[in-house]
Amino acid sequence: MIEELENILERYRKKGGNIIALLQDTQESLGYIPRMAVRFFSEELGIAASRFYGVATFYSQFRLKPVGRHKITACCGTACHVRGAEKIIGGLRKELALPAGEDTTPDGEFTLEEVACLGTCSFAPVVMVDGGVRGKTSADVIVKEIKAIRKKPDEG
Amino acid sequence: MKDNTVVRVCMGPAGIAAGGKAVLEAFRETLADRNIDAEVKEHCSSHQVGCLGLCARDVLVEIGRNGSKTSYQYVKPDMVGRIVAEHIVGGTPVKEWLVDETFDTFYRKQVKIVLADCGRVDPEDIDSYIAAGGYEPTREVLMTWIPDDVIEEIRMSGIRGRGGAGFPTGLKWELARRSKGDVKYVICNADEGDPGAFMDRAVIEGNPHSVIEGMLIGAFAIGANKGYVYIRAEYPLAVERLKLAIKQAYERRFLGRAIFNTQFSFDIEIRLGAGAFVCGEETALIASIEGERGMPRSKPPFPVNRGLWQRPTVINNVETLANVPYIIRKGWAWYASYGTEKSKGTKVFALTGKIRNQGLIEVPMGITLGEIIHEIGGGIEGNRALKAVQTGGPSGGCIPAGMLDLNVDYESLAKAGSIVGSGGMIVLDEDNCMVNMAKYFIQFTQAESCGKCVPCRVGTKRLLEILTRITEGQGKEGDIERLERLSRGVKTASLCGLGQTAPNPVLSNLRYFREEFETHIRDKKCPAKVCKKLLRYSILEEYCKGCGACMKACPADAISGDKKKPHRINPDRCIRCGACFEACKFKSVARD
Amino acid sequence: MGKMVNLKIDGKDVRVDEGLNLIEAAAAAGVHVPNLCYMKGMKGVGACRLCLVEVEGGKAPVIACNTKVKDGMVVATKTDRVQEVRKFVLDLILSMHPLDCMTCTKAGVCTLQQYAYDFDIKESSFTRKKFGYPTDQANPFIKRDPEYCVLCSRCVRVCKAQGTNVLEFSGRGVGAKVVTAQDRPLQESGCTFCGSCVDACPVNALLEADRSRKGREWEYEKVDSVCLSCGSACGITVSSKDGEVVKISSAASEGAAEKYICAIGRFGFDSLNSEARLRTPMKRVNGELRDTSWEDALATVAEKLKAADGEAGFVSTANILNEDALALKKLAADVVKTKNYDSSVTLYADYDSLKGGSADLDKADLFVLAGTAPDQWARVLPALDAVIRKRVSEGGAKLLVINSGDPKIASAASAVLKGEEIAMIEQLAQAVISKGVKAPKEMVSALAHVDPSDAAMAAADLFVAAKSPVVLAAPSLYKAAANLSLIKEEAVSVPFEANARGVVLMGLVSEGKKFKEMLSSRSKALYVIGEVPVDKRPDTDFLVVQNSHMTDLATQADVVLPSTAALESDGTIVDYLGRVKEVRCTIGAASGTKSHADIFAEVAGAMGSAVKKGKEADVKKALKAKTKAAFSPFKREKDLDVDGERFIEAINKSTINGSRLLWLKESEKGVLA
Repeated sequence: MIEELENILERYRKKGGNIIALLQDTQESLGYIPRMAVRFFSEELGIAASRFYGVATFYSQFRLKPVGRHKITACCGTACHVRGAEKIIGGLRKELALPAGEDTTPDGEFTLEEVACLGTCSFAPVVMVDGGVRGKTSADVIVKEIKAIRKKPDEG
Repeated sequence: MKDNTVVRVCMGPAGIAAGGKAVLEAFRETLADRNIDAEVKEHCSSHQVGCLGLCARDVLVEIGRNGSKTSYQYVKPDMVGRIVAEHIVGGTPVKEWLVDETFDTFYRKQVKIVLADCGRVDPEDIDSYIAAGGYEPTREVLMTWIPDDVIEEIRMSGIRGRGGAGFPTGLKWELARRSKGDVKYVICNADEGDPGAFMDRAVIEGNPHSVIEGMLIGAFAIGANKGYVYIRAEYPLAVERLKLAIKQAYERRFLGRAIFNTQFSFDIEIRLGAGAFVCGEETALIASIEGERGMPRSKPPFPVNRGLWQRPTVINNVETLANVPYIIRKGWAWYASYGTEKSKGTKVFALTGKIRNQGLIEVPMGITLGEIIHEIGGGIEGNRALKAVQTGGPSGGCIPAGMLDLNVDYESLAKAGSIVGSGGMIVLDEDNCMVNMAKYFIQFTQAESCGKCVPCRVGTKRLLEILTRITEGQGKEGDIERLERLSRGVKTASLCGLGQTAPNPVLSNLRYFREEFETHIRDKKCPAKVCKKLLRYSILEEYCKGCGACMKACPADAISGDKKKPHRINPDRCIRCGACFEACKFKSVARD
Repeated sequence: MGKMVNLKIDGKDVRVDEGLNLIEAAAAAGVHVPNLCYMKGMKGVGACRLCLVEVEGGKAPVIACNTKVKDGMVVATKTDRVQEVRKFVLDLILSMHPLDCMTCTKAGVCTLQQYAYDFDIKESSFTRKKFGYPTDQANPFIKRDPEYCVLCSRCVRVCKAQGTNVLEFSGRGVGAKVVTAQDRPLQESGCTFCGSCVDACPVNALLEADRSRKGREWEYEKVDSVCLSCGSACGITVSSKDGEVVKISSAASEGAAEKYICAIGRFGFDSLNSEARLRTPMKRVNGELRDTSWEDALATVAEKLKAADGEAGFVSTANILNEDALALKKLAADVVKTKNYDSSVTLYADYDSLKGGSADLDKADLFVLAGTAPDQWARVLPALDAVIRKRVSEGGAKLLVINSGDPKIASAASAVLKGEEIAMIEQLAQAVISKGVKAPKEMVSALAHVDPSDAAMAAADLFVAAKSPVVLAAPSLYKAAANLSLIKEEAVSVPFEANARGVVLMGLVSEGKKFKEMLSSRSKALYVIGEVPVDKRPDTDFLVVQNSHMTDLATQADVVLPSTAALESDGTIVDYLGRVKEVRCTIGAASGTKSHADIFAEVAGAMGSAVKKGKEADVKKALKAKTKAAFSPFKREKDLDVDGERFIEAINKSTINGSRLLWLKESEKGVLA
């Protein structure tokens, strides 16, 4: 992990970017922002660890816990809402048996993320499965897909 | 000599979601096939374009030939072979796949300025943009105009900020120009956070160079040499296309030093938003670019005087900037000929919800809501009745079905208790509950409140609590008045635009749909049958076949009954989840 | 003085400085504008929304904290409209705040309680909710109870402004919370426990950990005094109840950059009653230290000093008061008739460096740190570190660091000249002169050979641009660095002890042996006053240790005289900026102890001479001696290098080991390990 962090740091120093970009970079390569990454950056850059923590908890993009191997992103935008996004999310949570307040299955396989709007409102309701957009969808369709993913555990 | 043929495949947000990539591939492969006449090949090109508008019918493919256009809807890759063979080679369009006559009504009342090139140019090819006249306005401005001319032109055009607040763009530029300082910034706000609006995404994905040009011209006008595009990380394709466009612009020296061999230099950097709606607010956006928590700062000082790193900064929305090159190209008078007295030009709306023609539309300001809904939108989907149109997202409000004569412009919408906002237009039918809608928006704003000031932080939370209890059958007498008092308080006392407008959806729904709130509170009923906890389920014995599907589906063991005999729901055990309602194939479960 | 403007606030005409905001201007008119988040001296943030006022001609109310006065402005602070907003906001805050004022320690000084009273809100009209956050009370200094927090951000801002950077917000919206990094307990967050956040908190979210059930503010007797723990000599307000100190806070006025005290100053007071506290004189009998009476102890000391016949030596800490120093000088020079009397000042400073210069840190727009390396974390002149960082972050001042090492404070600097300090000072001076700034002739010629580096040229720009630069020099570099003050403004030397300047001005300037020499050479009698950085008994026939606490050295003494501790006697000191500060007795002498000055007088009495206790007039006379600034060669005073961290820890050993500060020392060790 240290090697990745050093690369990220190097890019940051070169570009003179800001710490949001630094954290985005970290999350992109590690999937989340581990505590040790913050400690490492804080020491290397002489920026208080509290600042990283403050920023990381402010923006909903950042995750402080590892993300599941498969990411399901449910859009909660208005267009999706009026076409039943709540129902879909409820159905998916039930299928994934997510404990209250958690977004990742205990086995680390799936993360269900809710986002404000994906900007594909004319296909509402929209869900993304591992980056692929599913438009005019329903809980049933996505549940089927989840089941299919579960059956092929060795992919990816 | 054969005519040139151009195949344009829609790769807007929806086009891609519908599989536009595969369709374009299919065209390219088919056209490369050796069985096709070499002459046809030579004169036929296929490329991707940005949003063609009628997203609901994606993938849309437009075949241009001999100055005329033919459009196909719902194109799938397996349809491409026939289109090429019969239409491109054979010259006869495949009739059954063409768009129907309603397609034209979708476009008839639209005026495309900012979206005009969206469906024409290849967003990944700068030459395509240049061929359409791109960067000519920048060249002209840089070489022959002075900054004051630019400001005057924009001021006279009457264009106002398309991000929501509607501040006159020319005035903003003028203030920034007059503000003292040798370092100034232009920021393009592409943090399209309003749920239900996707025009900025479509513009960047469809015509990124128009945004770059707008920034260049703006920077020249105010005297900035550095610009930032603050764009949502949730729009990866937009980011990618913008990056590519910036790279291409640098290669052609439209960005960088001594642009068009003038003294003017300008650099653009991209900053990714990290998921905070409040960062659409100017000062929060600035804090975010500075690498801080995106907490708004109190104004004054205004960004035009002290913005990014305390320097004069102009922040313009994507759509606003994308208009600029077209205003320069055709002149302010042309632009100002569209729209109303105080709201000039056109506005892009994302028309979604329960409407037939969902998509991205560009209309002159002042068009009536009815024209949009019934003509452009093709009316309400299914056999339902229009209930309201939500505009302006979480800062806006709902316009009831009875007000379709309303002109869509800044002033009229404000008078009606809503706003133009960034241009989300969500059509609601009778199946949508207005209490639930109010709750939805407050849930959104309270989750997006930065937490800095008390009224927004605590006030939205309290609003949500009251709305939640109303939707759950716990509403109390006086809750409506409580909502109104809270809303007024949050509006007046909040620090930034987010809080100041957050109660709007509540107030506007109370204004037009007060009875619906009262029904929820007094009768504990949801007329739209949305609020789960207010619903009562029962089995209509005369229709029940006793199949047991509902019994199986019930998670609460609330249904009993013998096989092939009518079942019953025990209301004390029923948790009102609706599983039986969904499970019954004979419509014998009643919901009230 | 800035321009003055006239405005009307609630019908009252006021004339105030042009730069003021409306809260300050209203205060000048005797009008209080309610607020929870405003902090004098810092930018208004507009978070609490209570300070909304109406300005005639304006559309909407404006926040007073962030609105500057304008000539002719007419302001109304209590219109129905803003009062309604205030009531609404308070109502909302109270819906998330415990209403346990009857047992809350902050009752009486809680701003929220006051406003609830003013606006007659018994309880919130909204459903009350709890956050359900745990309390952070795993340390003996600061209790953090987020349940009370109103998110005014004062603590976060003060922590950031002074560069400690421990507190920050996490989350957002109603879930926003004041936290440390990763939401860990304070002791795991790099917190120095200075307690600035506690002073800033308007409610009961941050409180001294030991305050619970120890009475409330209205029961306290409050006295302003000075902390004598280090060279910063911070002003403190000591609160006591029933003769016990219960709280110490910074006495600096609101908004002053100097509103900071460190953990030693704030929390070291429990050492007043530590086990090591001396309450009776002791005398070595048959090789063992035993309690004895004052008469016996004084008689023994008198006898031995007489016997030493001029070959006695006196070494004192420089934490004694001016009055003590005057008495000591008289005892040593006039009664014992020795030339050997010195203070620990000579371990790190030459006398001359402590005689001149004065400065106002709140006005300075450039700080030049020449060799001085204040450090909050190492507790080396922590207040100076915090003050400079605050002036840089909030006051727009600049910092130039000249140092051969890498001091932490360099992170706040606009420019750093790293290298041998004298060479760097020369380069800076030469660079300034090369930019056309006038300097004395002898300086110009002394620098003729110096060729400034690019870094020095850049740093010189800061100096040239500054209106009121202040050079803060390590004493050994003072003379060289003070040359800069001949070009512009002021230079002072920064000693490690609170009254270093005072003891020198009072004449505790040895004409014989100096501190080091007395300890390293043989003597017939050695009289050690206060806590000095000496652990081993020097080679002397007779050792007197006069101190408030038992020290390692005292255990090896022949006679131990119990003195009053800080906070137990009256007098004055002269701080490093040349200010005379009044040290006031706050709780009275601990039983069995006497002040240093009294003991000196009694020793003299026992020797048959009368030494009058130093009077105010004597101190004033001594203070008049001032040296005029003149050019000195660019040279470093030799043999004055002391490790500041170890030195300051050594002179506060009794305080640290006798109080909860020991816990901090141990836990910091733990973190390092």
